[in-house]
Amino acid sequence: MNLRTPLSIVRGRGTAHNGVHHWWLLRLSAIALIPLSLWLMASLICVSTADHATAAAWLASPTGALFSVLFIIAATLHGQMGLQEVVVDYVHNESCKMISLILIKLSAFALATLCILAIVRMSLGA
Amino acid sequence: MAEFRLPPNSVVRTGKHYPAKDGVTRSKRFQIYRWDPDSGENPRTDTFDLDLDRCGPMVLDALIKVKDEVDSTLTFRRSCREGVCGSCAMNIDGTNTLACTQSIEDIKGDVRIYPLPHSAVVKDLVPDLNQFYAQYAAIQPWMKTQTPAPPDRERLQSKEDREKLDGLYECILCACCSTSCPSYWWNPDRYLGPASLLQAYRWIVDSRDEYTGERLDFLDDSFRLYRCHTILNCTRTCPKSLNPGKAISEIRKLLLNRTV
Repeated sequence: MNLRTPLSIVRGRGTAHNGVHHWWLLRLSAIALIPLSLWLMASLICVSTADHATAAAWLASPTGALFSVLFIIAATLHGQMGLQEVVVDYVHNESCKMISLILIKLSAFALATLCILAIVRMSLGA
Repeated sequence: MAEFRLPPNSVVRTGKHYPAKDGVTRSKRFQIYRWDPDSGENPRTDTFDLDLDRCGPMVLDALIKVKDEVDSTLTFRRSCREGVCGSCAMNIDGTNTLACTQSIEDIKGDVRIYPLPHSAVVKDLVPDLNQFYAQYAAIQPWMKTQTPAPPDRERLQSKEDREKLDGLYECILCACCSTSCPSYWWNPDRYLGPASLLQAYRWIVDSRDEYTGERLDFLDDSFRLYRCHTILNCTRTCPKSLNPGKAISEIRKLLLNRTV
């Protein structure tokens, strides 16, 4: 039986002071993704009919490498923040919520690092 | 997880049917949600066929007719019968609205009447709004100032500043918007909901109030404000044609602007 007053539940543990930052970063990464996705789609269409050497040269070129890395940063940042919102909305079991958030954040970080490392290696000719 | 299915004791069954009397030419079928906490039974929908020639034009008129003439145990809230008190908010024909301003003629087919969605039912069409009112109380909906009011007159406000309250002060707190919001369905204990946020903004933009910063501080929280995902069910359903979604966006803009 819950004998807490409705106001005590609503006031809860107070304000977390974390909303603006998350919301702003989510919007910022969304804006960045508009030109970056268009560029990536256009490039992939051009490269899709070329041979492997041309595709590798495209990714290793300064522009190709720069925009690919920017896309990966923006996409993983945006993706993990968006997934965090989904988990926070729907998963109410505290342990499940924590485990999901940890998995989402760590795998996004690992994925981004892996992609960037690959591009760096290619553009440095290793 | 968020609950997507009704618990077994909340599954709605088919209830009684009260047919229209012989000789009725213009009859309309009303399917009304019924639940009596004392009976221990599941909720049911009762069907009432009413004579529109002997009934007022609004859904509330039909409910009152049922209570007066067919089944006096039908329970619902109502008061002003003209859309200013917000008591008779319910889910009619799939949309949250006020029974007193919803015309029967505008509804095609049967009129399905349920309590406001995703709220605990007290009885029949009466939802438990205690938490909703607590959320309203939590945003402290009154003038907060350090400067004492002038002893001989009211606090002054320019016409331009007064206009900023238009579209906000008209809210009658009927709870149609909050109970239509999926974010509010999943997190009603931590998300304040569109109604309370629109009211919060009403005090944030009031030029006479001196606690704007504290009010914004209270809302700067990933749950209290930022569970809003601009679904805009609130704006679509508002029986007073207000725009809680816009009010929430304005709060977010103010919160952002004070950091950059």
